[in-house]
Amino acid sequence: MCLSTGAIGLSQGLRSNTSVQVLIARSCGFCEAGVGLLLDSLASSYVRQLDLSENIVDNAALRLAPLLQHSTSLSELVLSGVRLGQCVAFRAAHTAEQAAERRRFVRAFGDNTSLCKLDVSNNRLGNEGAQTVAEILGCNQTIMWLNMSGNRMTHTGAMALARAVRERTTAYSSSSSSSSSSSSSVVKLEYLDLRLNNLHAHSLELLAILEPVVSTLLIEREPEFQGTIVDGVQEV
Amino acid sequence: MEQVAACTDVIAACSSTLRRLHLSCKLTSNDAPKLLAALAGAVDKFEALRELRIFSVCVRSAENMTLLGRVLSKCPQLELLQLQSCLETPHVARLMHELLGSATRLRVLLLDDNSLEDSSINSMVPLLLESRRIRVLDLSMNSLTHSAGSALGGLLAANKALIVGLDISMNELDDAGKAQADVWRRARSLSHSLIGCA
Repeated sequence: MCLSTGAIGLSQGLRSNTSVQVLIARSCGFCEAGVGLLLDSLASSYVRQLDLSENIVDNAALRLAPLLQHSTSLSELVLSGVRLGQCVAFRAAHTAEQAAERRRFVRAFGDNTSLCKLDVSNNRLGNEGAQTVAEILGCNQTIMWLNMSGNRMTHTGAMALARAVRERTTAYSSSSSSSSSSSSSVVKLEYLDLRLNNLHAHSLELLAILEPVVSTLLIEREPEFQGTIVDGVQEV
Repeated sequence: MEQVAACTDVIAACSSTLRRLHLSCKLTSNDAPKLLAALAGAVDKFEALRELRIFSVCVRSAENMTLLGRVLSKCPQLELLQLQSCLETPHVARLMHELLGSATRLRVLLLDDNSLEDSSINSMVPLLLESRRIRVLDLSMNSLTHSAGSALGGLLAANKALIVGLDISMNELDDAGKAQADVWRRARSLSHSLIGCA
């Protein structure tokens, strides 16, 4: 059982704090319980940039929901290498309870209107996790920068993402061409990193879908691909 | 030695309108006094200095710390101070006391990669609370543990310090998750290597 003594002290301070806007706590040795405490304490904070990479997050990710739902300032969330693939929200639901957890988690991203940058790289999300991220892209309107590299995703997961990005762009085009000054217009995805996944054999197909709709796409090249290559990465 | 000479030449050539000074020298405790003495001899040029960044200059003896304290006390306009890979725990509290007493405009304090231990933070927090000046604090890549986590919690509580940005990365604030995270990182790294080979 993790005691999280460092996280306890820090979270007690953060609970009543209203000044911290940037909190970077990469690789601090926090375990799932510690991260959960920190996220609980940030639920009503004004934090703009949060980086908890290289700690153990697992199911504590579910406790992001209150922060996402209440915050109007959180614009950058970095959760790289935190074992999100172990979180029920990123796995296939086997029970009604798990399905409800997953829906709540995705809905929290949908309720948020400030998040621009999401980094969930190096989490072994697999295709099931990619499906969750695709659902997040489907309901959230503000994310414009997404790092999905290093997630053991194959064609199935990548295609789910690609379809979500394409639908989002269609919604963006509709909202931007509409004359109404609606405050709920969708933001176009500008940056997508799909490197270090198992996509080599399908990179051309993905490029065909994503190239017209994403400004910067990073994906490993297929050996016979003849496009412009920068350091082994296709930059569109 | 050549590095010290080059740095002291640069310091000697500075004008009194100097706003930003970055010194990256990789000096040992033997060579550092020469650089610090050169800085201390040129303090009248630092009236307008807003930003001072010093990298890899070993300021670990009491004498070196006194020299640095003297320099910092003559920088009334200083807004940003970075001392990366320069300090260690024993004399930090005294330096901070002098610094926060004299640099009344200091807002950004970057003390990354200094092997600072919990006792540094424990003695620094009351000074930060009293001065209520520092907005951005970088304590990444030190040797802080749960005790420092609690002290920083005290700093953040009640909003007395008005900290806006805090970086505590690469410390061992909790050792409980450390071993798990290390295993996970190694496994992931191996997995990426295999993808690269495929």
